[in-house]
Formats: sequence, structure tokens, C-alpha cells
Amino acid sequence: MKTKILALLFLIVVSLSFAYISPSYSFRFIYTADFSNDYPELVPSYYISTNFWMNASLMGSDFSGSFSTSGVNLDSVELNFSKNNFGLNIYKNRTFGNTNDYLGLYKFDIGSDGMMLKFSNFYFFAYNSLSLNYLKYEGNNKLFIYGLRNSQSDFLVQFTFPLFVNLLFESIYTNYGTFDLEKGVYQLGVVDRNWNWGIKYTFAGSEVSLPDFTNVNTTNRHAINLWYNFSKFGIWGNIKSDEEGLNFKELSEIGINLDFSKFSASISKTGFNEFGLTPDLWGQFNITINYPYNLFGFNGKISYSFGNPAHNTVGTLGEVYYLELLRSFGNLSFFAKFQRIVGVYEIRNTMYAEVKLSGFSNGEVKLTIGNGDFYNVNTFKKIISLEFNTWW
Amino acid sequence: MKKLIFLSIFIFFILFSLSGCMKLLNLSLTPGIYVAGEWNNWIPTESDRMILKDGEYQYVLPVASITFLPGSQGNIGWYKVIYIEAGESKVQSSVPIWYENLLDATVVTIYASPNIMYDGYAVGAGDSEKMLGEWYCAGDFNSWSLAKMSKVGEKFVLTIDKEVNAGDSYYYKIARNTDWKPYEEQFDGKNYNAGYGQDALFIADKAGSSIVVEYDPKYSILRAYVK
Repeated sequence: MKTKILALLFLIVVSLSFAYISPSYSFRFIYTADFSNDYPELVPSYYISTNFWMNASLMGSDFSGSFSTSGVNLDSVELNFSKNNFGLNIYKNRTFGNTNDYLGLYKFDIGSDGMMLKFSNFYFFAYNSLSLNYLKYEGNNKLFIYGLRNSQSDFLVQFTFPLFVNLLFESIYTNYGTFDLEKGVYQLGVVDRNWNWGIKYTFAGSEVSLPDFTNVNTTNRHAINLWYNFSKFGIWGNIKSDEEGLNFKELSEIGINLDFSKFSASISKTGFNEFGLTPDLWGQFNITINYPYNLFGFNGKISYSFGNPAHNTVGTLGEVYYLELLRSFGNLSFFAKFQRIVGVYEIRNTMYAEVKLSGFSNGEVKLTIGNGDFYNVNTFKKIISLEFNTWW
Repeated sequence: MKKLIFLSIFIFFILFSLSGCMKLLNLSLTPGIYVAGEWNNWIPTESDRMILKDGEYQYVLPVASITFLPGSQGNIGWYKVIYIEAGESKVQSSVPIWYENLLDATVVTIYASPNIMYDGYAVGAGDSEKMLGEWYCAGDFNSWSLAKMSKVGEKFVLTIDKEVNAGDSYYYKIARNTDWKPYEEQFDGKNYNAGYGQDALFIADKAGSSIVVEYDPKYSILRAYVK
């Protein structure tokens, strides 16, 4: 622990000694009191996290660094150095290195340790905490990746041909053992230059071997995505099979988005093998209405959705009510949101509120109550958090 | 005009939230206590309603109705108890049934007490499978060495001789075997299938010379106290 703190101080001192031209800094401090662990008896927990970021330039080089702590422990670090075409980033427990290709070969949700070395359009990513190293070339409308994982490698080739429409092509091949086209995922697409309409076809082979940190979907052997957006109306469809190339009727989806200037609505349906008179016989569907408002100095959104599943956290038929409030009083801003889910047997209410004071010349203070992640958490969490941000 | 539109929509929203599509179309379950599992696709019907018998809610589930799948040891089926009252619901976290522990039983009786049910946890409902076989307990107080619990009446009990001061705290958990398997039946006082790091916490309210851990399988209640 002591070594880590000394290393951190050393890095700060070194970077400050080199960075005498307009260095800038920011610092964030968060104190959280969590009272959500209340069974069988209340066991509150209190924790502090901080984040320090700095940026400086010296003789045409840019240096930036950020450090975060959790309690007294060093939680994560990111150091960036760049000069002309050269760049070096070092990471500890940071999310980095997403490939950002159309299919999403490597997509990271949790922090890793490693480094990124850049020269011109070439990038090299090396991970200490994962079995992965990869080389990327990112040019104008083209992307190439060669990745090494344990005893196998991944090849990615992506092209965009900007004609009167955009022609897209991406191929990911997971190389192990003998060559087999079934070890790859391939995508072809024709898309409007403004992405207002398009059609894409994706084929996923049966022998594809991808890591956990990927966004590539291999559960549909065939997938055709179509969309067309008019100014006030959009329609989309996903024609999908299962891994065996069967069951299109059960897995395909269609949706319509409508924008009436005062409010918007969307309707979607998944699967076409079941349909009855009453909603409990409609299979998977969703109907959502959004009404953005601005009144009495408040603005926000009211929405209602009815569907099956009702919500990410409720797997049955049900409805979701959502209300959002936002108002500023000079330097003080107030934001709150409320959600109520009524399922076949579940009723879930939650809320989140925050008050932000930004009247300082180079800082702001924020007080929050609850957990704002309504997508994953559907009940009110007794968590209070005080955040202080400053920059200079 | 704008204010009028907003107020109308807001009032409609509030009224609708009190009687939305689910109520208007009568799609919600009527108040009561139900059991859900694979046999009813996790959405209970009237025939899955628990019955008040001898002062406790019971439900007799034929073993043949349970879908058992290979678990960490043997085969495991799952169910949950759902309590619905006007404007409130308590949904139990999923409870495992260990097929091999049932021996020749043809039914599993599920018990529930809605007053002690706690939404999102297994507490307040249990079953006859949990009353069979052995239970073991380990925690900070015995260096996490699983020790066999004695059956006293319908409960399983372990007494650990240890000098305890008020305020001392200990993490602990119960399991089916000395190897913790099947992992699905591990219980931390809140949920079954309690994995690594999910433990019950006991904070001594007084000083004493021993700690007693008590598990009531009928209602999935795990507690510890100083003796």
C-alpha cells in the first residue's frame, strides 16, 4: 500500500516537474453512505472514492494522467503521453481498448491492466490482466485487427465504401486448428449515407470461438437488420434465426417509431408464432409513449410502456410508469426521476434525486439520493452520496 | 393552453397509474400466496395458490411436476413463493430443491408465512426437502470449518463454545456437506445459492461463552445468538 502511494506521488511529482506550460487539473471526491443492507438488521457502510486528473504540455508533447482511489487504496490509474504521431497510454484497472468495429470484436465492461502504444494509424494493445494482445490499423474507411488470445488468434477486416450509398463489409475470423469458414462471423450492408435507411446481413458460423469480452452476437446464425426512418416515422425489422439457422418465426422482430411533435410512441413485437385477442396471448411485445414537457420552469419527460417483458428486471407482462423532473434555480439545479413497474405479480417503485450547486468559480457540489440505474435496479436503494468536483 | 394540456396529461398519468392496462384488463394476479416454477412457466395460476392449513400456508408440489436439471452435485429444481396484497407484493428469491435428497418422496410440501417474507430474499418460505438430510455450518467463529448441525425438533442447531463480547461480529453460512455441495443449497440467511463472499453477519448483542446458530428450514430462517 505504502509503495503504491509513493509510486503515485512520484508520478505526480515527475509529471509536474516536466509540465510547466499551462497544466490543468481536476479533482473529484465522493462520500457515499449506503443504508441498503437492512436485513436482518441495518448494517450501514460508508466509503470514500476520489479521482484526480491532470493535463500538461511540454515542447509539443502532451501528458495527462488520472488516478482514482477507493478508501485508502489506489483503485485505478491512467497515464497518457503523446507527441506528434506517437502515443503511449498505461492503464491500471481501466476500461480501454474497445475495437469499435461494426460487430464489436472486443468490448470491455470492466477495468483491465495494460498499455496502448500508438504510431500514426497503428495501435498496439497489451493486457496484463487478460490473455490478449492485439494490433490495429485504423485508416480512412478501413480497419484491420490481429489479436492473440492464448493459443488462438483473431483476424478482423472491415471496409466501408462510400459511394452514393455506404457499402459495408466486416469479417471476423477466429483462428484455431484447421481453416473453416464456420469459424467466422461475416457482415455485409448497404446503408444510406446519413444512416436513414439500411439493410445488413450477418452470418455467424457454428465454430466461432470468441472471448467473454465481445459484443459479437453468435446466437443467430442468420440475421438481417432493416430500417427506414422518415422525418416523423421510422420502421425497423430484424429477421433472425437461432444458432442452427431455424426458428425465424419465433425470433424475428419488427418495430415502428412515431414522432408526433408533442409526443412520441413506439411499438415493437418479437416472435410471430403466437398471437391472441388479449395481451397475455400476444407473446413478446412493447408499446411505449413518451411525452417531453416544459412547464412552470420544470422540464422533463413522462413515459408509459406496456409490454412483455415489462422491464429488464421483470420477466412477465406488465407496465412501466416513468416521470422525470428537472429545474434550475440560478446556480442550483434539481433533478429527480420516478419509476413504477406493475407486473403480473410484482409491483416495484423507485426514485432517484440529485441537487447540484455550481455557483463556485471552479467547482461544484452534488448531493444524490437513491440509485439512478433504473434499468438494472427497480427498487429504491437507501444510498446517499455527496460529490465534490473542482478544477484549476 | 400548454399548461392545460400538461395538467390533463399529468392527471391522466396519475389516474392511469392507479388503474393501468394491467388492472383494466385484469392481467394481475388476485391477492394471495402462490408458488411459481417451471411447471407454470414462472407465472402462477389459481391452482398454484397456497392453502391456509393448521395456521400456516402450504402447497403440495408433486416431485414429478418439478423440472430437475444437473447441478453442482446431483439434480436441482427451483421454485419461488409470491405474496400479493393490494398495492404490495413480496417475491421470494428462487429456492432450490435437491432431487437426490428427496429419496423416495413423491411430493414436496412448501410452507410460507407472509408476515416474515422479505421481498427479494428467500426468507419466510421453505420446504420439506430442506428438513431432510444434514446441514453444516461454518464461519469466522470456527475458522470456516463446516461442522454438522444437530436436529432439534424441526430446526437445525450448532453451538460453538467461544467467549464473545458485545459488538463482536462474525460472518457465517450453512451448507449441505463438508465440501459445500451442492452449492445451490448454500444459504446465507437471505438467499440460497449464496456464492463466495455472500455470508450471514452476526453481531453479538451481549457477552457470553457460546454462540448458537439456528436454521429453520420450514421458513428459511437462519439466525445466531449468544448463549
